[in-house]
Amino acid sequence: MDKSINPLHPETPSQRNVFIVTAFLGVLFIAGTIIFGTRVLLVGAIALAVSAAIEALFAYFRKHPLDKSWMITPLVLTLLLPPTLPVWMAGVGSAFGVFFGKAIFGGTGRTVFNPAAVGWIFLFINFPRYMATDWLNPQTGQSGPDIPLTELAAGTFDYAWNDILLGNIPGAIGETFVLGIIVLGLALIVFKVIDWRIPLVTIGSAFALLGIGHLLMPDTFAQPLEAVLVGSLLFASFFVATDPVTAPVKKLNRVYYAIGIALITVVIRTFSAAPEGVVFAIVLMNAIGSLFEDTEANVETEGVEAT
Amino acid sequence: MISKAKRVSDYKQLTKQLPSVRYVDPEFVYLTLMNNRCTDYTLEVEEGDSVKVGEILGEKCGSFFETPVYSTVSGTVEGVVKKLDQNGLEVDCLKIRNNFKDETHESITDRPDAFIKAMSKEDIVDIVKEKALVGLGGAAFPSYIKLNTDEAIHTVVINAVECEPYLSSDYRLIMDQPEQIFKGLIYIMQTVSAPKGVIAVKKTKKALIEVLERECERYKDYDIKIAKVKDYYPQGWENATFKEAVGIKVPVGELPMKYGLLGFNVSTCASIYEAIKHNMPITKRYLTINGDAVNFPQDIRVRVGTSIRELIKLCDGYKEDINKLEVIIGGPMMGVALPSDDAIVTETTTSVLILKSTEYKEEPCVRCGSCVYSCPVDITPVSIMNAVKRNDKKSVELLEANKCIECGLCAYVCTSKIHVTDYVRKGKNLIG
Repeated sequence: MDKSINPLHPETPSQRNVFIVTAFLGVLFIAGTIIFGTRVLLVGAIALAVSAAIEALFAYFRKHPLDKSWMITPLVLTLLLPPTLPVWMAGVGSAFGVFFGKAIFGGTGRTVFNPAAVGWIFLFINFPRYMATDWLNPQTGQSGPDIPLTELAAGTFDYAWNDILLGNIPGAIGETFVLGIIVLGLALIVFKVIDWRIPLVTIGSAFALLGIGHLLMPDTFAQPLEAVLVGSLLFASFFVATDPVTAPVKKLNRVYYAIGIALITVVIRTFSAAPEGVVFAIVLMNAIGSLFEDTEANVETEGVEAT
Repeated sequence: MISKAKRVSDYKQLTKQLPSVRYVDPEFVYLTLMNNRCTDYTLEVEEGDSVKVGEILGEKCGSFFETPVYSTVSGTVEGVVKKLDQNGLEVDCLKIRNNFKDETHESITDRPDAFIKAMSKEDIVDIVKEKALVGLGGAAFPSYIKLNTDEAIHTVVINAVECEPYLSSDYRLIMDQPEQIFKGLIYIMQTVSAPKGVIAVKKTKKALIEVLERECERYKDYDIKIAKVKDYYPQGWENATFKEAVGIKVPVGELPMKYGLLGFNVSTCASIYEAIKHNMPITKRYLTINGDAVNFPQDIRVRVGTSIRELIKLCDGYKEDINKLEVIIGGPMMGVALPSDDAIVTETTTSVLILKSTEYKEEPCVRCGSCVYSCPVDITPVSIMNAVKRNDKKSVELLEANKCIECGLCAYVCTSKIHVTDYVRKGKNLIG
C-alpha cells in the first residue's frame, strides 16, 4: 500500500486531522443510519460518489494529486440533510457544494465558503419542500412538518431528555445524536484537530443570547438549553464552523467569528421564517471572518498614508 | 494538531554529558577574510611568511566595519583558498600551515588585575573593538557597539539559555570554565557601570546551575544572580531571556539598552574576558558536532579556522553516504544547510549538525493557525506567506514581517509541513 494514502500512517499532521475528522463524521453517519433507517446510507453513498467523481475530475485536469479530505464535504452535507430527502437531491447538493464551493476556488486550502454549507444552501433555496417541511419522526415512523425547534417556538415541545440525548427525535441525519456530537466534538478538541474557541464560544454565546432573550421576552425567544441542544447548532459549531480554511486564523478573530455565528443564528431562528439558521450564519461569517485579518491591514494603510 | 509550540525536542543528552574533546592542533587553519558585512579585505602577510598566534594578518573591509583578522595558530601562510563559511557562502580564506609550536605574538600579554580595575570605559571598548569581538551566539553583532552605549545600564544579562535543540557547546563552556564567565561579566559591568549582573540559564540544566551557584559564592562582592528560566523555545532569544530573567519586556525592534539592559551571549562574555585579561583575540571555541547521522556526536574545543570535514573524521565520520545527509551549521531551528561539508569553523560557528535527509511533501495550507499561535513576536506568518506568494510588498510591510526573528517555530509546527519561515524570510528580503 502506498504509504502516502495509508490513513494509519499519516505523513503530516494535516493528514492525521483529515483522517480523524472523516472517521468521526463516519461514526455520526452510522448513528444517523441506526436512528433513521438504512435509507440514509443511500443518501450518503450518492453524495460521496458525486463528490468523488468531481474531485477526481478536478485532480485530473489540474494535475494535482487527489485531495485526501474529499470525504469530509459530502459527509458533512449528508449529516445536515433531512432523512427523507430524495436521494438524487443529495447528489445535486454534493455536486454544487464540491464544484462551486471548493473545486473552482482551487481545492483544499483555497475555499472561501464552507463547501458543505454552500451545497446545503443551494438545496434549501431550490427544494424548500423537501428541505424544510418533511421530517421523519423516529419514534412514530411518520413524517411531519414539525421539528423540535418549531415546537419550541410554538410551545408544544415535549420530548424526554433520554430521547434528545440519544437522537430519537425528528431532525437532520446527523444533528440529533446530541451525546455523540458532544463526545466526538470534545475529542476533536482534545486531539487538537480543531480550535476550542470556535465551537465553545459559538455554543456559549448562543446559550447566553437565548438566555437573556428568554428572560426578557419568554414568548419570543426559545428556552436556551433545549434550543442549543436540538437543531443543527451543536453539530455545525463542532464540525462545520471549525473548518480552519474558512475561519480566521488569529485567536481573537476566531472568538469574534464564533460570536458572530451565534448572533446571526439566534436572529434567524427567532425573527425569520426559517426555523434553523446556523448554516446561513456560518456562510455569512465565512465572508466576514476571513476579512478580519485584512481589515486590520486596511485600517493601518489609511493611518500610514495620512502621516 | 492546532498547537502553540513552546517546547521542541531537545536531543542534548547525546553530547552534554560527555567531556569535551580538545582538538586544537589541526594541520591547517583557514581564516575567513570576508563575511556578510565585509566584502573586501587587505592582507598584511604574504605566502611563506611565518606568523604567530594573535598576530594581525590583514583587515576585513566593509561599508561600516573594518575588522582585523588574527592568526589563530603559529605557522606559515600558504595563500588564499575558497571555503564555505557559516552562512554557506563561498568566501576567501587564508590558509596557514600549523607548526605545532603554538608561539604567541608579542602583543599577547596579560594585564594585571589592578591595571584592569583602573581602566576606563573607552579603554575597554577600544580593546574589544581592536580584538574584533562579535556576538558569538550567531548574530555576530560587534560587541564594542553594545559596550559603547550611552544609556544608563542597570543590569547586564549573560545569556546561557542555549535553547536550540542539539546544541551543547555553551553548556560545555560553562562546565569547563565558569570562572571566565564571571570575570568577563564583571568586566562588562565595570565598563558600563552596571550595578547588577544576571546569568540566565534554563532551570532544567541542573548541573549548570550547580556549577554557577558554587562559582557565585566566590564572587559575593558583586551583585550577580543566577536566573533560572523556563525550558521553552525560543527562550534564548534576547527579548524572551530579558522578560524571564529580569522581568522587563523589551518591545520587538527596540534596543534593550533603552531599558537599561545589556545582553551578551555566554561565549561572547568569555571572549571578552580573554581579550581584556590576556589581550587575546578569539582563537578557540567550543563546537558541538551532533545529529543522527554522525557516528560519535560530541563537543570539541577547536581552533577557529579548523576544517569541518576534519572534525567529522574525528567523530568517526558519517553513518551514511554524504549525499543522503544534511550538513547544517547552527541549530536545527535556525541553522543553515551547507551545500557541501567543505566548510570551516568561524568564531560564530556554534555547532555542526549532520542529519538524515527527510523529504516532506508540502500539503496545501489549511489556515489552521498553529503558526500564529506559536509565533513569539505575534505576527501572522500565514498571512505573510500569502502576501509573499502574490508579491504584495505593502501587505508584507503592514503585517510586520520585519519583526520576525527567524526562530523557525512556524515551520516546526506547520500541520502541512510548509516551510513557512522561508516565506517570511523572503518577505523580509522583499521589504529590505
